Amino acid sequence: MSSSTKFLTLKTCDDKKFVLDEAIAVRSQTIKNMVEDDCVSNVIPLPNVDSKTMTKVIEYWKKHSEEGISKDMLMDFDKAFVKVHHSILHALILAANFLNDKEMLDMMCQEVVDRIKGKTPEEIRKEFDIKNDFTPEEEEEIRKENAWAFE
Amino acid sequence: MKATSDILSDCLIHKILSFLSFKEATKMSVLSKTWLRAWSTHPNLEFEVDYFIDNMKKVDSIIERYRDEKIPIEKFELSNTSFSEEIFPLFDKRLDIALQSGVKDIVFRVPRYTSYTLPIFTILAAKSLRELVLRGFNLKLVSLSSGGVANYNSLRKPSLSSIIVESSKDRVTIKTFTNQHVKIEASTLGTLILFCRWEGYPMLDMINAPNLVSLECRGDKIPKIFVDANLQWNCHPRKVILFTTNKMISCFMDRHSASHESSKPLRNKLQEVTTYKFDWANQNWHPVEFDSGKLTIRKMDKFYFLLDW
Repeated sequence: MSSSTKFLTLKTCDDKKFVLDEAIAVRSQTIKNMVEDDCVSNVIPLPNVDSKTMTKVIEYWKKHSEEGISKDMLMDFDKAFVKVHHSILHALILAANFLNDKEMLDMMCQEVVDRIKGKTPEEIRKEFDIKNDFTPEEEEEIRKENAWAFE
Repeated sequence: MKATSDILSDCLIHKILSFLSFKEATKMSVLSKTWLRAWSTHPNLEFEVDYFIDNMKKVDSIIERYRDEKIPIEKFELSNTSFSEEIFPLFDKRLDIALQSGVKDIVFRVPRYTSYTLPIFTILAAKSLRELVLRGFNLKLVSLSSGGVANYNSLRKPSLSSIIVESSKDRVTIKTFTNQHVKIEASTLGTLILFCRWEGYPMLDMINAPNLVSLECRGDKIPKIFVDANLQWNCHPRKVILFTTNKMISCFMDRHSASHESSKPLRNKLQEVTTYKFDWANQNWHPVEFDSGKLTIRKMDKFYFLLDW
């Protein structure tokens, strides 16, 4: 590693610290802006991200910053990366959104969409633990209004 | 463990909905109140409607709801398979609501030869507007001038019969179908894309675009005069992209290859031209030898010239 490598310390909401090569951390537009605006002192606080999620994010960033990695290898990595419980998937979406990493956010949203496609509303609720807070009458009303979509 | 609806904001649900087809997305409204709210406040509105009164009413009730509940609209797309005179006032109304809601992208497609006059000044005056795509509108009756349009890449007095204007602060696309006289003055314009299809070609008076970075021409009817003149105007684009006939491409190459020749005083600022050819199989550009004499140009070839001034 060259002597010019700069490191940033990121602190998650549960007070865990991550030391990361600046060149990797700036995959986050949010961090990049902070670095460019020179408002990085010692530690960058990430109040919206917990350490478990951050570990995953950093795993993704490091893999995507590896030199000489082939497209196929990245594709395999991504495929395995998104195969997680929906609670982690959502935490990653929130983190990617907060960190402003468009590439990662798009990939995560695409995974949600892939899990939605071809399922009935009941199946989708089950898949994502969505609580149906409509009364049966209300639900019937919405279904009637958009009957064409449920055909 | 928290459920999706508790942790994802409307904004992120909007994003997920945008990845779905309209039908799939509509179905999501029944999941829970959070999803219903996200669905009914989606900032992108795209309508493809005919003039049946029932459908018109539906569009109206949706857009009125956006107005009444002050829901922001980012994209408003309206394509009419038919465009009859009765709906012109409706069209104006919808446009007004979209503009009031801070719309960023507008796409309107109507059949050609409609007699509707688009309130182009109102549209161009909208501060929020980022991109405008128009198809089939008759702007003949409208005289455009930069005076009334603040901060816009004004297209001056075009008498276009059918156009697509795709614009933001740095991009304008003009699509022409018939003989047209276009005068472009756009000091902030960064990209100009010119389509020339079918018979007829646009007669470009001049381009006063000192900030132009990229000039792109597509179509088989690009006039000779255009190639001749394109580097004489007050613009020095860094990039010229040609997707046209082999005759036009070799014409461009021949005229701009020998920039050092004293017989071409108007191009004396041009230092060097690098040529790239599009590789359709691999979907990328690769550099080629500039001399057109050594180059076989085939029908589907697309070239890109990097100009050093």
